[in-house]
Amino acid sequence: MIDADALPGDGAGTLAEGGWHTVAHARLALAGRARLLPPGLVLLVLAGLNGGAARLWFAAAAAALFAVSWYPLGRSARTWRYRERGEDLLIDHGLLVRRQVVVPYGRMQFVDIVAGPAERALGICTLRLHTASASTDARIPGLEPASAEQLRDRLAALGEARMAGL
Amino acid sequence: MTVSSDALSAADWTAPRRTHPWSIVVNAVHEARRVVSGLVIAVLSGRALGGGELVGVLVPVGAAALGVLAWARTSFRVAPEEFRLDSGVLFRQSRSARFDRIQAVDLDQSAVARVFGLAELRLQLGGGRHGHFRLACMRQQEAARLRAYLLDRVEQVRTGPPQTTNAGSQSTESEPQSTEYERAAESERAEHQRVAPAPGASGQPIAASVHAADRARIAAQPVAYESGVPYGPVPAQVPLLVVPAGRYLASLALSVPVWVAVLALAASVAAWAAGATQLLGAFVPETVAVVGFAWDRFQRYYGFTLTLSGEAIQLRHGLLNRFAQTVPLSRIQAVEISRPLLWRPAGWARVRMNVAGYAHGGGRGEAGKRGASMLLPVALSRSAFEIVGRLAGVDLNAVPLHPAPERARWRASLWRRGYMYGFDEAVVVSRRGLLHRRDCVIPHAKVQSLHLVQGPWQRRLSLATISLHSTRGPVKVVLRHRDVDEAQRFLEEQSRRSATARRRTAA
Repeated sequence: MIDADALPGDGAGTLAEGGWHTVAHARLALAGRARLLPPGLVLLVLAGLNGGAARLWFAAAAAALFAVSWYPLGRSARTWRYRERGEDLLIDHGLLVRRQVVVPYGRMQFVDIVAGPAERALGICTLRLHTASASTDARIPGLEPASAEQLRDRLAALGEARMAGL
Repeated sequence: MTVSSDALSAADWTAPRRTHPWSIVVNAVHEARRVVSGLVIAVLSGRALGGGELVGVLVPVGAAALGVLAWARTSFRVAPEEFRLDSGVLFRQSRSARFDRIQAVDLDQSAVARVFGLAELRLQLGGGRHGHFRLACMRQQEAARLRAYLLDRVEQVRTGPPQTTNAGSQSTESEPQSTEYERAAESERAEHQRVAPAPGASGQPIAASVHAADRARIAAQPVAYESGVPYGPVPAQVPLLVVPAGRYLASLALSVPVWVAVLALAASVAAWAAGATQLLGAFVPETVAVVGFAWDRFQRYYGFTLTLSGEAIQLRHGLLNRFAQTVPLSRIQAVEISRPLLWRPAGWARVRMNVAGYAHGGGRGEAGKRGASMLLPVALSRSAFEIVGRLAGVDLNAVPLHPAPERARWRASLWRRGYMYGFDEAVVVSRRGLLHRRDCVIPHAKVQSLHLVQGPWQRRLSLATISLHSTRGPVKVVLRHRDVDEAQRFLEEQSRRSATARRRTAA
């Protein structure tokens, strides 16, 4: 597990203006970059197995994969923020395509906490909200497990209190 | 009520019962399609090894024996709190459906089942791929009675014991139940007999009766009956709308799948006539698929009848496979009125809906993929708007629609004019499409979640797109290319409107 203090500007759970919560964006960005490792390694292995021009191409592809996505991943991780409001949870994110999601507490059916291997190693996790609609894409990545669990319990209690029939 | 129909009183459902013996045959025919191909392979491969005939005899005999065994080991009964179905030859399975979990009880009659006068009950439990029970097959009347009984029990669980019959009299506990049940059963049966006979079988072809009822009788029908009354016993159930056979055929003739089918058929025939056998090989499978699809479309919604009964709508349709379905109004999540280009001259519309709690993607027949979503296969768009408005409790024509801003033409030059939305105190309405026009209606209380999405190009133009999410189904409510400030304001206000509406429905 990586020490969170070692990462400058990792603003997990900081209360920003207007009641917005931010997420641990530095670690979130690292987790995103870590997800590039498997395809990157495959490309490097391919480069090793091939010779001549093909080797160059594969190596270039591996380098490009990291070069192109390194910076945007960091930037987009910074855009995640959420706000607990009276009746609903508001999630806001997106660098190129901006997305805002409003999930009423009374519509939440269940709340998941998931963490992939990279996220676990970095000590973060993702909170997922489910409604009766399959199109609801509401998740908050880059939460610390303790605060994610607190948030989940809070949301579950709010959902219980406001649960409305379909 | 005659003695014979009294013979099965409510209490009798509590004893374990088997389905009708003929259901072995019905199931066998249903399975035959899958079995036949396997059998052919088995016979052919068996022939290669010698003894193909033996396989050809053994497999059907084995399958028949299994069918009989499966039937003998399947039983159902009504427990105090739930409906229970025990089945399985090797692996015993006992499934139970609590009455408070039953969303709907549908009656499904496949063509084969109709030959034997049987019907299949389907219990919708909401959610998931395994969210429904199939109870194959009972005598048609028995199935209708069990359905009425189950609906009655479900209603009792939902609303508490019936107040109207209990008032004043301190009778035994089962008394009001059974009278409710009998009334429900009687009305169910009466209705079933009215609709069920096959076309031509009773001397009263469906087409004729449909033509007689060619008009939507909207004004005559009171919107709601007193609550607490089960779905069945509403005295005179005048259909809201019966789709005339002629109009239905014409609407199909003006639809793309049928044209594709006709073209595919023509191409196949032409290829055959020209003796181009290679081409034929390419055409025939597609033709079979397309013609099958068109035929399915035709037979599925033939004789479509929409009845408003208390707080629920009843749908009955089907030419060979007949289907009856009751959908409580409160379970309808969103509705779409679509007007395809080819139907516009005739002024027709199709109405589809999202229904909560229907298991999707599982099972043969109506409640499978599309069945539970059709509200009207074709109707005059005026009637469609009026009916949808009545179901939602609003006047749709009075909802003001706002077009997308002028600058949206830089993002959607052609289609900008088609995008409109509006709302009143009860619903949000979105319209899209210039050629094929779709109007979606979603009540505030039914909105699951809201998304606001702004792509890079939209950001340059200060535009945003809002989606109002509903449960799974064909209806998607999307407000495209709105001014971003307006969208942001709408998002705020809509979440408040939805919250208020939810509280009002909960109270």
